Amino acid sequence: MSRESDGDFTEYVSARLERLHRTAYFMCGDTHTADDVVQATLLSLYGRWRHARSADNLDGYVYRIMTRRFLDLKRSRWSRVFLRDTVPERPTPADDSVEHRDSLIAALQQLPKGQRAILVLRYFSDLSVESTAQALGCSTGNVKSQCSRGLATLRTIMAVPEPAAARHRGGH
Amino acid sequence: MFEENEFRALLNDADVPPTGVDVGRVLHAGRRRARHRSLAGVGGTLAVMLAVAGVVPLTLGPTGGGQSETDPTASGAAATAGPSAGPRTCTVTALAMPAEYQAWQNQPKFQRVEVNTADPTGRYIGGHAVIGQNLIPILWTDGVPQVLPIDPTTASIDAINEHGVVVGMASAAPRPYRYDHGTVTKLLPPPHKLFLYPQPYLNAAGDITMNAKPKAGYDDEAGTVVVWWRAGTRVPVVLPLSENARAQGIGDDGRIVGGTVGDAGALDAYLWDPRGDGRKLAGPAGTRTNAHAARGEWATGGAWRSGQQGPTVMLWNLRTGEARELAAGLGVGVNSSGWVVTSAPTATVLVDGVKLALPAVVAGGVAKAKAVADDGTVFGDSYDGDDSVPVRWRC
Repeated sequence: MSRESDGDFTEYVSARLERLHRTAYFMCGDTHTADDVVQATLLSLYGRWRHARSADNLDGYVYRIMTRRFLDLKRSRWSRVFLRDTVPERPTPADDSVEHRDSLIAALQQLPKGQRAILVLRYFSDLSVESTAQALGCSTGNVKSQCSRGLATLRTIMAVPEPAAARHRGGH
Repeated sequence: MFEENEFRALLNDADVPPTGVDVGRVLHAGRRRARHRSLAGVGGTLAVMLAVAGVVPLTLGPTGGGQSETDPTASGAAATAGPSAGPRTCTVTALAMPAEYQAWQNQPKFQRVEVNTADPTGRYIGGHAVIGQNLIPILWTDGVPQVLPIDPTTASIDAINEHGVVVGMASAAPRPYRYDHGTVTKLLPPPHKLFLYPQPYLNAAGDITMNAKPKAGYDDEAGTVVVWWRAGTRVPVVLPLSENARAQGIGDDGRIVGGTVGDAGALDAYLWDPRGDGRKLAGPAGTRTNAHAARGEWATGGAWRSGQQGPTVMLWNLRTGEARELAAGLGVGVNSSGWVVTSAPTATVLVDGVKLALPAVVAGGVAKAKAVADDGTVFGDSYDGDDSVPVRWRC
């Protein structure tokens, strides 16, 4: 790759590294696995940079690579042990935002991987429903239903009251 | 309230540890990989950095990426007779790669070779090559690697005993297997509990234990039983334990290592004998615990506190009853001297609460410990941002 191309790559990645890391961290639940996923994503991107840099939606393309890397993580002895034992405590309901924040990271890990990825891509990475569906290789309807189910599960895990609108809908 | 916008806000506000990814290293690794593929593409014989046969000894000091520090989160709980401690220098040696390694490197989906486990003597080491979504199991015997013919699709090596018996999970719908010097045996589930999880555990005698449940799905553990295959058998016995008991390991005395769980996760760490009689491993006040491994007079696992993210490493002395919290993380392996292998937040080894200084093969790389033998030899991976090299450390 040319020096100019390397410069473009460096500039692009540097501007997004923190965001990519946070996305991977929310998906993986630990910083080392997140680093592995980000590293693999960026290496893959570098290998395809000549074509990727002219993509219409480069960010969406990168999140697609990352999501595949995350979903491909093998449930090896290591990850199985880790995932199993990060099952969080279920905190008592509290208005304390710090407690919510800490328990959120752990609560996310209780969701199925695909559902977790969808929630993170939609609500942290701000991908559209269509881009999220592309990243996961599923339908837009699936993305919507998984978002709804995922948020409902998180509410239960974190013992957060259901929004009034949802309660109202559920009553009919 | 917990609607979409609040969820967004929580994610944006969440405390996330800093990344260890360095763009410069990514660039370097990317260039190296591109060069490598370019050479391979024109049919050149690439001289792989690691010899296909024999080991590459690299003696590095502790500054090559290792760390030696006392974890500030260690509680310093009363310790009367801890395992031996003191400053140690470890040297790293890359393990030999199997003959297939060169061909794997030319496959687009090849990612890396990793260590996963080792037997207590260190004679046998288990690992795998990651190719796409599949694992190719590798067994090192006296340093000589061999690809095991377990399954054409995928197979992990999860445990090995000192007699070279291997257990793991194989095939796309993973099922446990035993590999005993060339003979592969699929381990059967008990009636109506067809889903065996999360992995088989093995002791020196060859006894194996796992959990079994009636439904698939990572989140649904309802109806779980603990099962036990006597050495050499393929039909398990269901142990008379409560439904909330979970096996996480098996000791050489036949006792199941694990704990009870509730809706919110771990409750109490236990050791159970095959008759179902249990010994609860007490944890510090206000904690919930789980045990993951036992060896000799030691057991390790984790302790969880309300409001605290992630566990702390527990080390129990089974002879004296002493329970110590060592550091943030989870103990997943222990040797006969009480050296603990931890997973999260870092895969390392604690000796009396102090992290071993494990150097990486490449300066600035990351050392990841996976197993520790009774003589203090540590096995794991040296990750340099591109390649993960299987290694052993002598400390």
